[in-house]
Amino acid sequence: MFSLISCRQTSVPVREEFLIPAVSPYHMQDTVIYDSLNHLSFSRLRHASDMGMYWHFEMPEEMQGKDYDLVFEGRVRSNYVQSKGVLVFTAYDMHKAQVCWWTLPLSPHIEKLNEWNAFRDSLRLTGWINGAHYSTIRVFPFLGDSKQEHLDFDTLKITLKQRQEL
Amino acid sequence: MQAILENVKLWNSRQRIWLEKFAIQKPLAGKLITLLLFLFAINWFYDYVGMYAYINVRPCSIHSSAQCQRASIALNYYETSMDFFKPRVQKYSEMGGVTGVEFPIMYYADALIYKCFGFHENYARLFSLLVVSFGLLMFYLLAARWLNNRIFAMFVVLSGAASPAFLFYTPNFMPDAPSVALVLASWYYFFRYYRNPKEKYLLAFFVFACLAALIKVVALISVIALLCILILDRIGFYKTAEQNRIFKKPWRVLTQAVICILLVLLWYTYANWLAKAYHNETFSLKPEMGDEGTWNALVQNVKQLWLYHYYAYESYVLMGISVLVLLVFARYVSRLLFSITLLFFLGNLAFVFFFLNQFINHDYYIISILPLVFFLFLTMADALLRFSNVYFLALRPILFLLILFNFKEAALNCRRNYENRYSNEIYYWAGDFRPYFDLEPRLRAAGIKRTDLTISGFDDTFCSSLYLMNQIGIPISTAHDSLKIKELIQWEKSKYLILNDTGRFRSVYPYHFASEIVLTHRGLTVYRLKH
Repeated sequence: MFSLISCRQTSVPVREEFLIPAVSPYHMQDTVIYDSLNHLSFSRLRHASDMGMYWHFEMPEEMQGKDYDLVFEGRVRSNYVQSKGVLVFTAYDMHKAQVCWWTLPLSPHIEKLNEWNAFRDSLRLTGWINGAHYSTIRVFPFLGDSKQEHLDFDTLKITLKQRQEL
Repeated sequence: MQAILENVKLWNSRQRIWLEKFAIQKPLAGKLITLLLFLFAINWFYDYVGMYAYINVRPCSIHSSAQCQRASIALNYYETSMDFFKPRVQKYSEMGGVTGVEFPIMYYADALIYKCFGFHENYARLFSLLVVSFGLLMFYLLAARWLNNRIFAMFVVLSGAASPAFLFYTPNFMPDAPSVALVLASWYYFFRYYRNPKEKYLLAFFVFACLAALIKVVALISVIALLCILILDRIGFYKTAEQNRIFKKPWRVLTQAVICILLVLLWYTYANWLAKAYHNETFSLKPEMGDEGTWNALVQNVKQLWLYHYYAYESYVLMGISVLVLLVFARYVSRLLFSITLLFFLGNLAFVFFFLNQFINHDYYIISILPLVFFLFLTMADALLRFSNVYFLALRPILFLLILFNFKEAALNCRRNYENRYSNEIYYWAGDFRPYFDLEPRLRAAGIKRTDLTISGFDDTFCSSLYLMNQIGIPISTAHDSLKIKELIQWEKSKYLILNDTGRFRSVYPYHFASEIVLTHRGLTVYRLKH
């Protein structure tokens, strides 16, 4: 009953992950490029179906089956106005079978072309996805079917927030 | 047995007398506490559900298209003309976008607020929220007086209001929730008239009921219910030892009801005429009963999709219990309350029958039915409290706990549903219009005027993209063929083309305007068609 009285915070961070191109060991088909003018490294996707640096998280048993908000923050740059870049969320069950492939389009966040655009977006996760229990999640940028696009990320912060029991 | 019952009654009445010592004696303090209790509870409820967190968002989520249609009427009053009798929508038509719509008093009031404070959609949302809160307050006062118990009255109101669909459309642009609020307010005045038969209360009933029906025609059920109560009253159905008749001047009631019904019919006839005369039929102003397959489709959709958008499982349980209570404690059920509940039930049955087709895909059609739920809960609480007063005072805390825990679950369902409706998943499902949210300043900076006719592709809704970027124009849907698109682009009046998917556009219209790009914005490309 006391939870009825608290009406503010609905979720609390339980896990944070910073994906920084220069130091992150988890890369797929992206290229890490050093921008000597601005002294920063960024991850670039430039071919169709390229996947970038990823976050792979095997959830401890006590974290499974709960409701979460998955929050993405970072900076993105593209040279294509209708960017096909997306953030992909995939989940796997205990037998490593994939239970979902969800995408968050990045084009609404790309306000200016060829410039860094800050973005923040989120996904709601329930304990069960598509009727399946999952124990592993993976998040990564993905370029879709774009042919001439260059999609860059300088950082990607991923926060897993557990939704409060109400 | 009789002696046992008499002893129970005696013991119960002693307990009641003892409890009455704690009652607030001063009427002013009582009123103040009643009001404060309501304000505290309703504010907490809104906050708990998450209403305040989303009060600033633009029209989005489920039925964003219908929201944008209504919001565009207010915007056009504000931007184009304050002529009340010529409501306009954002979509271009030869005769200035004028269309027929339900009585646009809410949209007109929104436009007046925009005129005073500048355009911002949260004023419209807040205004709608205020109207609904007023209606709930009125029903709470009704329930508090009738039950003589503030706490139970509060739970009756909150349990009735704990519908996710109702709460979602409360701080919103749709007329359904304000119409229900006005219905609730009208019944408050009817009960005032019932207790103290002054004509001004009856007049207030008709004013609110008429306004509610003008905003949403289904609210006429209240007026028709009152006419039925008048008939029942004449045949002595409500005759008690204290009161002979409810209505002292039946002809006056009849006249007021007929005027009310005529006003409503007059407006809807005018709205239909307006839509036809201006060749712009935008809103559904007639019944849509559907065909043979409609019922099956409705049952399937309600089961799979809408059921828990209407109410939580626990609320349905409470409704079932309420019906059972009415049957078991029939002796203690107020005839007046019961007949109002029954009349609402029959009226709503007719409404569902005539608008069956609309219920398949529109969650907000359920809102017009909610007065039935409010009255059902009130009738149930009244019957149980009456019984407890006579025989078993300890029933009160049991009833209190039952409703409290029931409400706790219902409120939780509302909160989850509310957050879901504003989550990204629903955004995408309902059409992702986020790139248009902040496009208008960039269009104006590029020298594009609001009245420059704009073709907006691809937008499968009525005018969502046009409203959100505040441009008069025509949307291209994904179903448009290349011939139609060619016609629109070559039309002399088309000045700009705004695309959210150039790839799709090139597949239906194989010419490109690469040299005519005015600006790009969050995945949108703006082209100039005419210099």
